[in-house]
Amino acid sequence: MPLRKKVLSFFFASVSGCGFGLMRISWASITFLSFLFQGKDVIRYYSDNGFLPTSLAPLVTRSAYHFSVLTWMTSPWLVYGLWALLLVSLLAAAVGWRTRWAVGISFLLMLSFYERNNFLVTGGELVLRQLGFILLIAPGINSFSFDRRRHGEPQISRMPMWPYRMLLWQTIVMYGMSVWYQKLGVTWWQGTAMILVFQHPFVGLWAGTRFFNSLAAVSQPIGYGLWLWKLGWILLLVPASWFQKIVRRGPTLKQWLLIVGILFHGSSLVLLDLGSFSAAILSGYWGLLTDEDFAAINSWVRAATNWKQAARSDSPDIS
Amino acid sequence: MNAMRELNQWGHYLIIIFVLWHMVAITVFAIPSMAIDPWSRWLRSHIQPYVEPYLFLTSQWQQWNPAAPDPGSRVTFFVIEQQRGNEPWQKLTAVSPTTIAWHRRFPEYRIASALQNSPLIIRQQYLNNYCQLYHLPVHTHLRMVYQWYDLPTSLAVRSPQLWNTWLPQWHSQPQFQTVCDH
Repeated sequence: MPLRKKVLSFFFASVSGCGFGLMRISWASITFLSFLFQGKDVIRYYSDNGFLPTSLAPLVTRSAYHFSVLTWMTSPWLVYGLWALLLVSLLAAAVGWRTRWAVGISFLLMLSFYERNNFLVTGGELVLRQLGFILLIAPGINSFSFDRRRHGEPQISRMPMWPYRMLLWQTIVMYGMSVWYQKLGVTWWQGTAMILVFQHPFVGLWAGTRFFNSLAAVSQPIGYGLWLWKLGWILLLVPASWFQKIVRRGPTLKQWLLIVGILFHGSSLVLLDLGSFSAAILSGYWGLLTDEDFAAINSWVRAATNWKQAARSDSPDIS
Repeated sequence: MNAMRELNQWGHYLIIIFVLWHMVAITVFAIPSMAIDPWSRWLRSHIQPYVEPYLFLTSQWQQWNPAAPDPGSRVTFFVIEQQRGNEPWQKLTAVSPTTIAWHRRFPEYRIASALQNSPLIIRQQYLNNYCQLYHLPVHTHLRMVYQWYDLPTSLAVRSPQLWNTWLPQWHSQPQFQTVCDH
């Protein structure tokens, strides 16, 4: 295949829009919840009646290339109105009603809120912003939507590959840079970093309990294991066919990375208070699933079902 | 027909250029601000200024430093105290794991922590906001008191036995204050 065709195919090969459809639903739902939880504090966080009025905001936020609708709309009731509009548009994005408009309005308002008060932007908000941006520009995000139902179209759309490439690159950058940052410290090398995370009462949900105390013994392997897993994402830059030559059966490298990621971020959801971070990343994982991954999930589910049925028919009849 | 196909192909090339641009932009900006190797410094000084307008306007700027370079070892509870007239200082409220509902704990802690490095006028404005929240009378004095302890960081902390017997050493220090004026 000539190089030009290879490049075009790399970015424009058709993939299932199933992953991006599920990512849209998940992204909109998590963003909806995180803003809903702020309901009591909207005026305090984002309006001129709060602790960061627009006159003082430039002292802690950049002024160059700064965009936020809330810079001009500062009165408490207007801010509340925009917050309500954001919630409505996120709901519309989740169910896929006027999907493109809903995602567009949601993204614009979401970044307006985040840029208005940077104190509230942490890892979770960074991830939600990036997912929102990719969803905004990606074609074919309306799988599983009212829009497709209304138009009598099949629920799963097709889309070009480039939004998937952007999302995968974003994930590699996120994990890679996080290891680079941690490498500059001391405690990650020592193997004591995870202990500090577990024992911090604002972060570790069970800080000071016997269970969390016992995790101190495995802090070093957990820390190094995390580094190894995060760096593993960089290997996805190597063509998948090379790995398939080494490991011919079972999950692909990306599938392994996703499985470990689900275990890691899933357990973080239960053990740590990281705001919306873990849930946001897990919602991004949907977008990383291609036709091949959905086929693999199908075959695993089928194999598990067959195994269950076989086990049931093999069991002795005791009636 | 040919013209349409050519236009379509140019559209494809434009999308590829945009995707590559986006990838380069987010990568350069995400380089740790603490990295001081020559490559990082060169990218920060020569390339970052060109990608910043795009990243700032689309809100795609990013630094991946949660729990990095080291997780925080200082645990601080933020206690807000009030004083009316000549009465002694009394606790009004606090930002601590037990005083805030679970769904508000993370942003409230985040704000209180970030305020530590903010200009005094913003810290006072933050306190002043509690006058409205709690409908405090004019001339009520408010002050922020940091109560903190440090988690041990030596290699000995890898032993669970240490944590089963360890007790924090608390410190307390008033930091800044304000007066309710409306």
